[in-house]
Amino acid sequence: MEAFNALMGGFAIALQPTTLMWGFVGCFVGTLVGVLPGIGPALTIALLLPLTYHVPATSMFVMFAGIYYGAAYGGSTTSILLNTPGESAAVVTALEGNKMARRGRAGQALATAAIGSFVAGTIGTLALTFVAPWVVEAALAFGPAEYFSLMVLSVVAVSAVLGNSMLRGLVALGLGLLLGMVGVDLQTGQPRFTFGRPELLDGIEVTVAAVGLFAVGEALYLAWQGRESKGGEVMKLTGSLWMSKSDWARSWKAWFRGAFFGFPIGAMPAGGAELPTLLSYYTEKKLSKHPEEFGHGAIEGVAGPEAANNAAAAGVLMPLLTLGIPTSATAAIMLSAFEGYGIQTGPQLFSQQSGLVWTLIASLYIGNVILLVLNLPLVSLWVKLLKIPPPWLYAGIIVISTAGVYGAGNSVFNVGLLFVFGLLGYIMRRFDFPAAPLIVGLILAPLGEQSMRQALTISQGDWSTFFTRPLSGSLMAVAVLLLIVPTLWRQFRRGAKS
Amino acid sequence: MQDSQSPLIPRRDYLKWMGAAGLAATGISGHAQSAWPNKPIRWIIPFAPGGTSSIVARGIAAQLTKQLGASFVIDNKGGGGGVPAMQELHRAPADGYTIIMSHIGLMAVNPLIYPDSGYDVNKDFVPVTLLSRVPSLFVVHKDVPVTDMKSLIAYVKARPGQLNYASAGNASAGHLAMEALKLATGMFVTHIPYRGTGPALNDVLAGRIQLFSAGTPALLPHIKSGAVRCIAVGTTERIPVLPDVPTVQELGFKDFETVQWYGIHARAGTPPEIITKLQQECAKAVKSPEVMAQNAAESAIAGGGTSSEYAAFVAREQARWKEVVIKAQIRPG
Repeated sequence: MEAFNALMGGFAIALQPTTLMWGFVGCFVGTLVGVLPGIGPALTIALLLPLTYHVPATSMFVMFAGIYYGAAYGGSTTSILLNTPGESAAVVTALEGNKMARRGRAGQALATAAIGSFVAGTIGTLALTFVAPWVVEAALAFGPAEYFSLMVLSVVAVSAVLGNSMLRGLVALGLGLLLGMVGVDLQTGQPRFTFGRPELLDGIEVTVAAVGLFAVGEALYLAWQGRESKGGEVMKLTGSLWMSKSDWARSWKAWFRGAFFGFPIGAMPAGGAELPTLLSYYTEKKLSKHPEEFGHGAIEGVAGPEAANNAAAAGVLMPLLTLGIPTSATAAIMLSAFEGYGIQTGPQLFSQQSGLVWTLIASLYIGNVILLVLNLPLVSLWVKLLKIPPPWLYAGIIVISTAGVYGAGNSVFNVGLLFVFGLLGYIMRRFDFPAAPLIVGLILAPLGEQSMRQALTISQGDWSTFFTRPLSGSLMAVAVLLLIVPTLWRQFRRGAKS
Repeated sequence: MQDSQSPLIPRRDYLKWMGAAGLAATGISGHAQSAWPNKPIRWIIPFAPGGTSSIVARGIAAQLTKQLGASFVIDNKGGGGGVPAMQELHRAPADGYTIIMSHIGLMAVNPLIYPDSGYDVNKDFVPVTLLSRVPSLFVVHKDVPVTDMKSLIAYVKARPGQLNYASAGNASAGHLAMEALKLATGMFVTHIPYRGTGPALNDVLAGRIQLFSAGTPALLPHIKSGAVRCIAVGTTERIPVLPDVPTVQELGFKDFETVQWYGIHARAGTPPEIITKLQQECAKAVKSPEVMAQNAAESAIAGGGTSSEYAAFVAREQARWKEVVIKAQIRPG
């Protein structure tokens, strides 16, 4: 229980009134950043970094924890209310969350997202406290071959987000995969589809595409609809904002399963927060007792992915603290913040600077609690957003998306790209193509291609590497089973009935 | 044309103004420029925020702001191998209010691999000063049974095509350093590029990849923990944090030097007084306790030399890497 005692010491330092005040500031700013489309935690922390040298280390950690978890949570708010995810990890939340809001259940959707984020964030932080060394070892076992198998598994899971028409869903996925090919070929250095633009060498930024397709696309779609169909668009709020008993019963398992996906994948160097949300959504859809509700506002479809998203945020801290490897832009900036305080992350971190580290981990727990305390009352406030007349609201969203995308990379090119994707998003909405598969394709294509070719180079061209490595082989087997078994099962049932 | 340029000033007055300006420029030279800097200076960093270079830049920018009384604003413009960042400076006026953090990739490698960038690094930009040099290290995973360069070369040559090295991407500093080592020693290991140092380091620590080259900040903790073994350093002299590790030169490879370096470049045509002043202030800034502490933490070697020293250094590096890039057929990424 050495870890426990050290953690208590950390709490004693972190639980001081001024420190808590910074925590509130961090959570507020973080939630705001998450809510505003295009502005991410990486940019916020980078902007706040110069401030850090005037504030004691512990206060700053609590504030960072608040921003970090707050941003991971905040993205869900606009996804649910307006169908405009502020970042790519919140795309899946929009699928069911916005449908719930349209049925007048925005309050419940926001509540399950807030509590799910808290539960998953706490599970993730607990794991960080007690099982960090093992999880890191497991994450190290994940090499290129394993990543590729995980991508194959994810492609199977994409089937859950294809929407009503398989053909249209696959077209969107294919388009996403193709767009994912833009940029320099990592293995040979050959630029592909860049049209001589150096901005495209690194590929299309997923955040730009997601904000363009969803936020700008949604605004354009509403503008096209104009006033005549406005009657159908205004969302009514019926009954209580609070979750009912059956909402709780359907949410809690999804929270835990989501955390189970989010944490380990977040801890992997190329895992990210998007894949776990997709896998969680797929799982919930398959396990739900109400599969018919999916696509029309199933609460599990909000609870699971939101939990996965926040648990992934906790997972990212693991390689950062134990190996000194930043696996996301935000983590890279936090690393430099730590270095500013003389914390050298890496293998000897826990033994050499245990005081500061445990304060940081205690801060993460506190940040999570503050976030819950701050956000549950805010649910009723956020819901009031829907009372703003849509023209004002969506014009504001376009302005903020544009500013956010420009601010993230100081790139006018990306702003142009944002509106190209906005137009594409509008066309897709107009002709009933789902946008989520496109984003998933855009994420999967570069990762999948890169890991496949790395794995094949390491194995000297031997394709069996994907099946003979135990972890990779298991993932492949799961993918194949998921693809075949449901079809066979349906055939079998049909045969039994007739 | 003159009239259309200044419709509010009568022509006679305009000529008088021009004459006065000419006098000022020839007579009391430097007076006009002594006003520099009288507004914020934009310092373009060709990387996304958060990397080592940004931290180094922020420390120095804070010092320069203190010394010169005008703020140095860090403007991160990452991606595209730094080409968009250079194009941004290329478009800016040559007045000393926009400068860039130059490094090995921007100055020595990009001209060879991005010929269509629309600028000439040597004609369109002028060097100001070298800020710091970060030693590159050559490491092997702990399970590779070699302890020095000689046994490494023998081990690799006994296993042709079976060993791999990781890099942070095509044309990254680590890729170049390892290709330089391969050319010098005549050994062959396969290049496996990753997206960034983090994912590459992950596979090296897991033992899937046997060799790796990167800067000191990323590798030192893992050398200390024993996860990887440092075979050689790329600097010309041994470095204080690893006093027992020989340089590649000591091992008999003459002229071998691989360091990651960072400096400042300005637009060509910037008044020389401004360049000199900025260089002198930078030399002061890198000796400030704050920047020295930062350099010590990264085990970086402080720069601060004159512009002509930096120009000579860049020219040497360009010649060195041209050979490596051509022989190893390195392309962007």
